[in-house]
Amino acid sequence: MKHRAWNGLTDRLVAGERLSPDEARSLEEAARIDPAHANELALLDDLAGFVDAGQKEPSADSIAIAHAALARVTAGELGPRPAMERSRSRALGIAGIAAASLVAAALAVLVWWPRDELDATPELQVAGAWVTIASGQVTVDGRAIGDAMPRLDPSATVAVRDGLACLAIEPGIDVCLGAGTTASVEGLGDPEMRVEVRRGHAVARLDPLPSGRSFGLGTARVRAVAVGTIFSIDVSEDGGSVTAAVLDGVVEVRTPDATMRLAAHEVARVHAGGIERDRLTADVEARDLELLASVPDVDGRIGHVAIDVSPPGATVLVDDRTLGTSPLLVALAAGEHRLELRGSGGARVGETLTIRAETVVARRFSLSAAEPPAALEAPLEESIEIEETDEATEGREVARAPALKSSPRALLAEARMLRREDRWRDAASTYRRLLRDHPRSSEAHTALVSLGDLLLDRLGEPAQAARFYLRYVREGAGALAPEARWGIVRARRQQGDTRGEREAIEDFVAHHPDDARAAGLR
Amino acid sequence: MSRPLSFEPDVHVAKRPAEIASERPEDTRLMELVASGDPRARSMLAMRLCARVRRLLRGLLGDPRDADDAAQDALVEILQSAHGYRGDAPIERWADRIAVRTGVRFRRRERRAAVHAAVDPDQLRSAAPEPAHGDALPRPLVAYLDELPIRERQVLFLKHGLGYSLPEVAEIVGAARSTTKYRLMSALARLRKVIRRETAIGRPGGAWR
Repeated sequence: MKHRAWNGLTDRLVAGERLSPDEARSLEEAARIDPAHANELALLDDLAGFVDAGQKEPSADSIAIAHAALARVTAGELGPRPAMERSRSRALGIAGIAAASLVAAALAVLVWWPRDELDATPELQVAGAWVTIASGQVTVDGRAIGDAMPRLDPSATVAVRDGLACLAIEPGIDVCLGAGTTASVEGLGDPEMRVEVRRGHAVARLDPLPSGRSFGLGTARVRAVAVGTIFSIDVSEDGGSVTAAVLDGVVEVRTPDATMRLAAHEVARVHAGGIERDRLTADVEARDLELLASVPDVDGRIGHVAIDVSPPGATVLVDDRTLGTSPLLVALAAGEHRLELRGSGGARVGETLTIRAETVVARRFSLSAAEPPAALEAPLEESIEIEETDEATEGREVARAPALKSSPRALLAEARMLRREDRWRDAASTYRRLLRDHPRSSEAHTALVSLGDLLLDRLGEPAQAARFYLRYVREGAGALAPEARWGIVRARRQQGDTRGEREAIEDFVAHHPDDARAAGLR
Repeated sequence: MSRPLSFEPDVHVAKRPAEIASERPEDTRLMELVASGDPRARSMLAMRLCARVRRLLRGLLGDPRDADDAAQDALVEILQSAHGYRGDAPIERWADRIAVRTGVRFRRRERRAAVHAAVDPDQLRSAAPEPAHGDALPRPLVAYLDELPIRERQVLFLKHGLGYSLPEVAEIVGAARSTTKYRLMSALARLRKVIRRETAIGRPGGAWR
């Protein structure tokens, strides 16, 4: 059976459509001949038995989870049902026999817990629009974000000069604005809310909206409207050209003259000549998802922290997650968080932040690798309104960065962040560090392609780039194999190595015959 | 393959729970005791379901830590909802629905911070270990599921792992049927690429390297 016929039948199968007996026989026959086909069916088959294939006897971790749940249910009967707070299982750290004794202890504590402690924690109702994270130079109505309350007034204009900003609009809508973007939130509370993008790039992610409500991204003339999806819009500097891209769901692009429905992985280009449909490219998809990746978790009770560091540009980590560079404002769940700042010169500082719901904490630091410890200026206490100070109230430990071995995930996140800031060489160094410190991690394997791209496209080192692409392919490849092989083609071309390029093209076509790029190479 | 694949439309391809043939009256009695607050019955129910619920949520959510958190939430909900059990299905099947609902809700809460995790090119794979399941596939099933963006993973798992019909899956994930169908086909297309590549280059099973 040809691949195309196979794909058609299995697509129908996976979507739950009925296959005729002949079609079913054809599939089974094809699976007997082609091991790839057999594996495809085996995967669906294994999936069908996955849940039942669990161990008969629960593992120690499963028992620990069961005991924790039992403790929570018992606690809930002592007073109003407690909020379903996330109690990270990794924090539980319960295993095996220890589980029972720990739970017993927990129950003993819960017995005398005052009832107030068990009151359900009310969820913050986000009415309106809030800034949830702003990194770099971001202004709201012309004021630097660090001086502005994170809640946005109707029609407030958010301008991102460099860095990024993300907004939470009513419950369930996140919008992130990239560097060079100016936008405002319009129609808050109306059935048709929208973010008007004057220029630049915005990407939105929506939970399904209630019936009769919609959300759109657009300009004065062009609007992309959805009821639950991920989509983005790009507006040229002069506003004359607009590109709407859909990553998931369905979006309707409306202009005064035409309406076009876009499905996932489609793009609409609107210009003076009309509107054209196109396919979403991997670059655009990666760009949009990377921007959305900055959205912090703002469910539950939240407060904000505004971090300003002298000199600016320090990397800000909260709870070991890299959030961006200073100056930075970010929404965090109420409670304690670990803040760490890393300066470009290697200096770093950390402290524990206490965030109270619906407050803004302003923190201002001075960070210099060349300076001895205690060069840090401590912050003032938090309040409902932002307060700031330059006053040093106590010294903090500032030290040159010790030779810490960050986790592979942290290094990958750091490299991504550096890339986003166009710090190509720093990003390449971080990827290399990941390869050196964690050579056997899956992150390192993936980083080979990212590093190749960086060397090829940004640093003009095609020979080095080809080396990393080749290593990725030789080390077992992975989901990025087409990108790696395509990278080898491009690298050889940049090197002027005609023979190498031809060989790379043949290799690409042989391994990825279904890839759209292969057609152009044949 | 471990058993013949069903080519019928929208039937439950998931194996039915082993307890399907158990005496339902015992299940009903157990759930009555749980609903009345009997600590021993609660413990029995939690122990009976914990591994299954955890495995289900591991398949649905991907991240093992998220799955463990969601499993705890789901077990709480199951224990608190025992009065709603009518005995018309095995406890496991009834609990599956609660676990799925909890998992989807959990995912919505979590995805603000994690939407990138499943689809970021730098994070296409999870290194989380999982025991191998099938003997035909070169790698554990979960390793393949980890290749998928979360939305595609969810619909594929609900449809083919738990046997929900297309309209049921669409309702659970809050998407249109057409979108759900698209996600299913997109998931298969991604997996197909991975499988063909592995088969072509004879990549050994196990870890990524």
